[in-house]
Amino acid sequence: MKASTLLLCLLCLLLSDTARAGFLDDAAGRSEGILRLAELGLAKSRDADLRVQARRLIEEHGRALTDLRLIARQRGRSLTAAPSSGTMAALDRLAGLAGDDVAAAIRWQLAQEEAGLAAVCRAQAGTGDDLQLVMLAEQWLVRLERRRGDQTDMR
Amino acid sequence: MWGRLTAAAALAGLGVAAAWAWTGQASFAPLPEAANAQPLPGAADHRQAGREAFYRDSFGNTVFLSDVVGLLDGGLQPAQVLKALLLLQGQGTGNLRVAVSRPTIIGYRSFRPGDMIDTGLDVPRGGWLPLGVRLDWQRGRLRVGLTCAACHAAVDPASGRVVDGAPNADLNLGLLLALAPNSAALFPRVAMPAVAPYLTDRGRSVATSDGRTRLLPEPAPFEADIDALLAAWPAGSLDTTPDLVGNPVQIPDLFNTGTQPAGWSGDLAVTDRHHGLGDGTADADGAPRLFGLDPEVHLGILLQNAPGALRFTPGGGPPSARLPPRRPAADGTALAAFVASLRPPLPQQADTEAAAAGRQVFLRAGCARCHDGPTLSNDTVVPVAVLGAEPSRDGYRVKGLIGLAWSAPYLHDGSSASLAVLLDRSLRAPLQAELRSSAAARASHVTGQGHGWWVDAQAGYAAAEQQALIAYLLSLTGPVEMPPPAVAASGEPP
Repeated sequence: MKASTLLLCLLCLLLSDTARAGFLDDAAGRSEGILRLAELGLAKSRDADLRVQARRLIEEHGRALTDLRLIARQRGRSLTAAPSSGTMAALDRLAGLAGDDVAAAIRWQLAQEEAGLAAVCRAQAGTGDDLQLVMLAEQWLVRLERRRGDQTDMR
Repeated sequence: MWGRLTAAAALAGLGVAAAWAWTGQASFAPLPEAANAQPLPGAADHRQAGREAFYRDSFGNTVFLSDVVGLLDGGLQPAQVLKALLLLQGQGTGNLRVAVSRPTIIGYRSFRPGDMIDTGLDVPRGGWLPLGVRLDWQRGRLRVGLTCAACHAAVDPASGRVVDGAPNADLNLGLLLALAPNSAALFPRVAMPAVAPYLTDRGRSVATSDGRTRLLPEPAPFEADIDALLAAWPAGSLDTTPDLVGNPVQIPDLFNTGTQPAGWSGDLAVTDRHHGLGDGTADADGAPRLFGLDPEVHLGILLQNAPGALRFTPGGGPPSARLPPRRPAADGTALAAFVASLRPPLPQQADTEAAAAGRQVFLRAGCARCHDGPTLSNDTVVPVAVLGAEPSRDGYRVKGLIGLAWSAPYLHDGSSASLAVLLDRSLRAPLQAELRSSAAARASHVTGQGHGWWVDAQAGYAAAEQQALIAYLLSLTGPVEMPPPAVAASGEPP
């Protein structure tokens, strides 16, 4: 085998591994962001519908993070579950809000975060690579899209 | 020596007779006599046909429970069940206790052979078979199915007679299913939102319906985790919704089904025969939408660890090819007519004075705002945000109140042992705290939350008024007439 072919193979392997790590960390970051937003919703809002949604999300994404950590551990790596800088800024802004607007603002931000997570899952599901992560992304996508449908119905 | 031989022969004879009655029960064994038989006019034959179906028809779950889940292939073996039945000597029981046949570990519990488990199965006095258990001998294999009566009929401990429509409040379905070798086939009914963590063997693959390749979970850890989640179901409950969320609900009574829809979430028809433990393979077509799984992956999960001929070996063609043809659905109208006719037995003694006072409390407290109509339900589904219930379901149907004396414990999750706990904050709060500290309760969403309307001291009611209300509620045995809404609503809900 030529040295250049070997180098190319190694590069592909490295890139593919980076992509997998990218999905795990991206999904974990999004989940963590949703989790923190839901906790903020519980802490700041008396809106009954938002509180139900928040409790549901805390459970779902708590479980999602557990699954992601388990998969990362199976692969001999740790997980970085850090929300993006944009999400952190939104969390700071929302924490400073008060009054009736809080529920609507948190609900809007949650929808953004879930749309972001759906995009991450859609990208992973589309790769067809790494069946464990593809199937995880497919299952999450169905759940996220069903909830988006429910919210559309509610409107 | 001779005595022992005689005893052994007698036991064997009894065993043969019982087995004969078991295997033939679908056709000729008499139905148990009900303590609450109704002398209703018209269509008696139709209702009788419905009662036959109620006790004898498993509506197709026999193959699923026997050939897919393996109910008789795990910790519970037919011989031990037969022995437990024979030891009853026809006395009947509300809880058949059966010895475990082989060493089994479920969650944090380990069972040794001989350890007794509470099945919660009811056997009527003079009967030789648990209520609602159907056995069939087909192609050299004993199969078990569950009929409506397993969950929705119970033995009255006082008389030993059967009460049609009373919930079997201690039926330990979760544990019975967990003891089976392929409980994994019930994964949509427990908290298993993603199978990915179990997809660790790249060789365990299945071809999907559109020609792609997908993986199946590693059977042993998957089975162990599902066993633990099933065993966490409280007795007298099951998860009626295959939605990857573990939220079992209490088995309901059937005294309030004159109107539709039924079920705790108001999402069932009486004739929906798959609401209990129906055939999980029937969910395959909906698996992409329901579970995010290809139909062949869904079936592969269900069948890869099945006992016997239906077992699917990864890489061995599509799992769907292993399924037997489905039998056509039976006519459910007779069953619906029978169920709609069910009423609880009349109470032996009722405090009519207290009940009359309790009715006034009922009206004053505004209970009739929701608990209205002949069965004291307005048939609406109340959102969890309004009820203050835990959020794993969208809402709960207003419960009809006929026959409450037969349907304890109360609340959708069966957590309130008495009506006092349901109505009184000072009793419910400690219950909720206790449930929060229980891992099994958390895993099953049993929280004691919901029905946040109170008739207690904090709402301004004296203890005697609360007791009178409870006496009234426990006295309800048939259709009720409420005053017109203007009067009924004179008291604001607390």
